[in-house]
Amino acid sequence: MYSFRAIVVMLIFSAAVFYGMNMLGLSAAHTDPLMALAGAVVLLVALVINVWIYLKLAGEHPFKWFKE
Amino acid sequence: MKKILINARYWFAPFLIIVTMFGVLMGGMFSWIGLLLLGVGIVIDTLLKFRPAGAGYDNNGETMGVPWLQNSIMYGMLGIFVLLQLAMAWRVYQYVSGVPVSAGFDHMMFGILPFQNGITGLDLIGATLSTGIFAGIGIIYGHELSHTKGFAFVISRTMMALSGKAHFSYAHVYNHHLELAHEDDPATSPRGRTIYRHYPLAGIGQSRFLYRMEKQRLERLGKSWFTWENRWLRGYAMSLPTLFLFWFAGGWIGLASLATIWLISNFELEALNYMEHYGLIREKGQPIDYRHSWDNSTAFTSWFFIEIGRQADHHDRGETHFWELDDVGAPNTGWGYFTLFAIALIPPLHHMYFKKELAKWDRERASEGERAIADRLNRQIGYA
Repeated sequence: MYSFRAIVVMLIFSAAVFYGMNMLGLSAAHTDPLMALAGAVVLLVALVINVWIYLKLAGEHPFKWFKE
Repeated sequence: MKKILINARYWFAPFLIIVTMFGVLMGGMFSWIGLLLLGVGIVIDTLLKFRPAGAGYDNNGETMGVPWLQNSIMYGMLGIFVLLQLAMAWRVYQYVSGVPVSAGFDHMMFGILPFQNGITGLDLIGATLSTGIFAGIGIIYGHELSHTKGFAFVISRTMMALSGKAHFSYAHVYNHHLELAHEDDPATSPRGRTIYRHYPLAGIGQSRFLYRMEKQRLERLGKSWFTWENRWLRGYAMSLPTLFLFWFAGGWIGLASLATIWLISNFELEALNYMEHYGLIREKGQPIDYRHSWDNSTAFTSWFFIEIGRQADHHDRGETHFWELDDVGAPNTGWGYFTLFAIALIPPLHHMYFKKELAKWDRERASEGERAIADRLNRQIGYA
């Protein structure tokens, strides 16, 4: 349940990032080296934030061996 | 001659990674070669149950492994993996730019390598799967070098960063090797868990370890968490060139291709962790023993995975070179990694097989305390 909640938030966040990238024209301009670099940085930051979201929302629970 | 052959047997993986790279470059049906080689590997490893010794020692007690040669190949693999990614990104670029697909292998690369110009969507999928499978094999070199210091450790981090997994190099040494077979080690799968559940949990669990380690370390130093000295953040930043390459080459399609490559290569890494310690138990604070690892030492597994299957010896002597590892009498199912991987992909089959193996481990190898934990877990998951 904890993982599920975290994954839902991660999916919503990722969808918002992808939508934002499209709106800002980053995806359309991916063949421009500077715009591609900007896009790659946005994607990397989104990846790090997604991991952080999981760690914060799921907490210890998914890693426990015994059911609570 | 004997020494050359003993060293050369560890070059299966580098050779097949290069073959896969050429497959991607040639295109067409050759794009699928990585998937084919994986299938062939499963068949060979299942048929060849012969279990050879490690590289061994000569009459003077010197190792038969040639350190400078094996190390050079390990370092050189970083370049090969970069070339593999470049080859894949080039194919993504060809697909996205709509380069017309030629009828056959009628173009020449550097005047020596025939290739099909352009790539179909189907063959792009094949090339992506092949690259993912053999980028994942590369993780064995990232693992081996994570047990070193200085320049070689940086190579390990860089290699792992190609799969978005630079945190592994720290988590493996400072978490897995210290907390093995215990709940505190996310790389150890408790009995009852499927490979599909273990994969994301182990991956993010190792990232969580380095996140916390860096938080505590930087706090002790009185430094902000948001700094270039944060090795968790820096590890992800090391993946920026790869992300840039695929995004630049193909936009969303490039990103989808890279995501698939990362998913497959990381799945292979966690599959190795899964097979190495599945269901084994250690009490907190008790010493790590040979019984806390499954050894896998069939000929093909030993040579292809550069003796990584000699887990018990590796956990006893973590900084020992792979060619010096040997059999130490640890639990061993007798099957290699390729075979066990195929079994793990079908959870009911995996549980049916390991339920018996773990019952034997509980009976013959577990300590009193470990048996008590095993009993509780067995009741919870239906292994009792």
